[in-house]
Amino acid sequence: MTEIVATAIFLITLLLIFAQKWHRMVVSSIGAAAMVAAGLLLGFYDEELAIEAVEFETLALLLGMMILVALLQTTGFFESVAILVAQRSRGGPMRLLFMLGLTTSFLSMALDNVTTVVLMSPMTVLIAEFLDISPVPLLISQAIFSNTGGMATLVGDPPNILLGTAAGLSFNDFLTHLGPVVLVVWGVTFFVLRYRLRDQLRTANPETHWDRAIYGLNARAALTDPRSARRVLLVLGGVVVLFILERPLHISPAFAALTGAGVALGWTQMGVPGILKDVEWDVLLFFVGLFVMVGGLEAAGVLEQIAQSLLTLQDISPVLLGLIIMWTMVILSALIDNIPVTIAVIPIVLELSTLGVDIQPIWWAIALGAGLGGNATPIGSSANVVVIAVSERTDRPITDREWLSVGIPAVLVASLVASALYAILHGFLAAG
Amino acid sequence: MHCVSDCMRTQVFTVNVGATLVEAMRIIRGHMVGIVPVIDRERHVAGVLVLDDLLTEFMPKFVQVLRKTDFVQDYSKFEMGPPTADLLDKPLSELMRPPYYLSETSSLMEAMVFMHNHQVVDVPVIDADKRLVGIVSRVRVGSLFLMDWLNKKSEWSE
Repeated sequence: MTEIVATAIFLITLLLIFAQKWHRMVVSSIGAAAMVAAGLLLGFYDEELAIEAVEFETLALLLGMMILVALLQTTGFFESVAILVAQRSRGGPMRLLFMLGLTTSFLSMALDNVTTVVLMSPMTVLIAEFLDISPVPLLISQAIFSNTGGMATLVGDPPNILLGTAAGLSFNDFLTHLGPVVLVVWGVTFFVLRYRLRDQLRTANPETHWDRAIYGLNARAALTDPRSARRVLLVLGGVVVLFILERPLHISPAFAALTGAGVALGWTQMGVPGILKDVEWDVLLFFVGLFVMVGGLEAAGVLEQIAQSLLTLQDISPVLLGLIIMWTMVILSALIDNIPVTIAVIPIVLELSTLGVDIQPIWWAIALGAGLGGNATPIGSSANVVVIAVSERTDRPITDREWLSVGIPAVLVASLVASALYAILHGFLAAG
Repeated sequence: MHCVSDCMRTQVFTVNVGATLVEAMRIIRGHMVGIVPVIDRERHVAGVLVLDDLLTEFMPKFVQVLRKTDFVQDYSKFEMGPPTADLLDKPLSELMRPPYYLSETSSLMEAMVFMHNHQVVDVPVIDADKRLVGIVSRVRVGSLFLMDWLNKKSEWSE
């Protein structure tokens, strides 16, 4: 009975997140309240257990990084970078796709994806308008490249932060294990996007040569607060160094990020209320709701049962098991949202480890599946939702069909390549 | 105490519901006004076409998505091109704002707060039967308010 009630509450919540009728944070909060209430009534879950279920380390790491990005975004750094990239591309749409994609991926490796695209996508609209090309292909690519780049690091994608905290995987672990895979996947994704978007990226009037117009943008003027930008970037660099030295120094990434946020707030002397307003509190609260709900599933014994039933797959080879998990994550992340899926899967995998399964390579399969699957559909990841919202404020809103026609082939090809790499590198990924 | 009717302009240039966008543009151009109230047969305000909204349609789309645009130092690419058919074909109802207005008996302070909160500089004025009777601008309200204040100040100093 308890299992059925807990599972029903979780599935209904997922369904409501999928339906997108209400904000996902509201849905997850109500779901969490329902789970605790059901737990109290049926005696399988209570408030204390719910609070224990919340991974405060994950929240602290996210909060620290969000504060750093909020500080950086007020300085005009992102606008300035976008202008420089556009000018370096000399107005060639394909060069722009490559350079803007590479820059977005690179920024997403160190910064939150959502913030990166929130700040870069309006600039993409501007650049596209200056070049007389449709912003749609560039915006879709921007979200996809942001998700892809983010896969390579601990702090790049929310699922990675969750996995890193739960499995004790460090910044270096992500960079060394997923970095090479992401590099190849990035290249493949670029060629798929280039092929699928080649017609849309043609200039409407090639004879007008508006590519010179982008030189009318002043990157220096865009950087409105260079002193603070320098300071925040220095602190951010320091935080990344602390991430890298996490094990020898015996510190957590959350500690590094929060310390960085504190130092940067103090050093730049920016107004705290304004900066805190830019923190994505809805994302943090969405996480809390999901943690509480998954804690309920665990307390009701649902996750243990799933893990037990997965043990029947134990006879198959570990590589195949990893690939099944990766593709399941790809499909679930595309259909729902990769954050709740990852939060629910983590305790199942931890359960598998107590049952004697080598879970080290499975973490990487989950990270790849969650990261790649999010690209397929307009709702797959938060970055996708953001670029669609930006496009809706222009006269060329991105349609679901447009997204799927690019996202699905990109994800299929990238996932196939990632699967091949996973199989080839399985020994290395299992070594930890 | 002065009220809105003391400073409103009673000569109002309007268009009827169902007029085209070009007709409204001609009124703005011909009479140098910042808003054109859209009225029905009973002179009830059905909507308001605001010049600023109209001009936004002509601006590049990035203006809608970027917070700051000071770094754009050359707009020559976006200067007047041929009239866009999309814009001319748009019905007036798509560009006009939902009706907003002040009563002719509203106080100057009420008008000032209304304009401040709604970020508007011209507001249609209606009578007790909700019929359009004038337009009041921020400059007119502000000038009359300051005049009252300065008068009071001189009374006090005497």
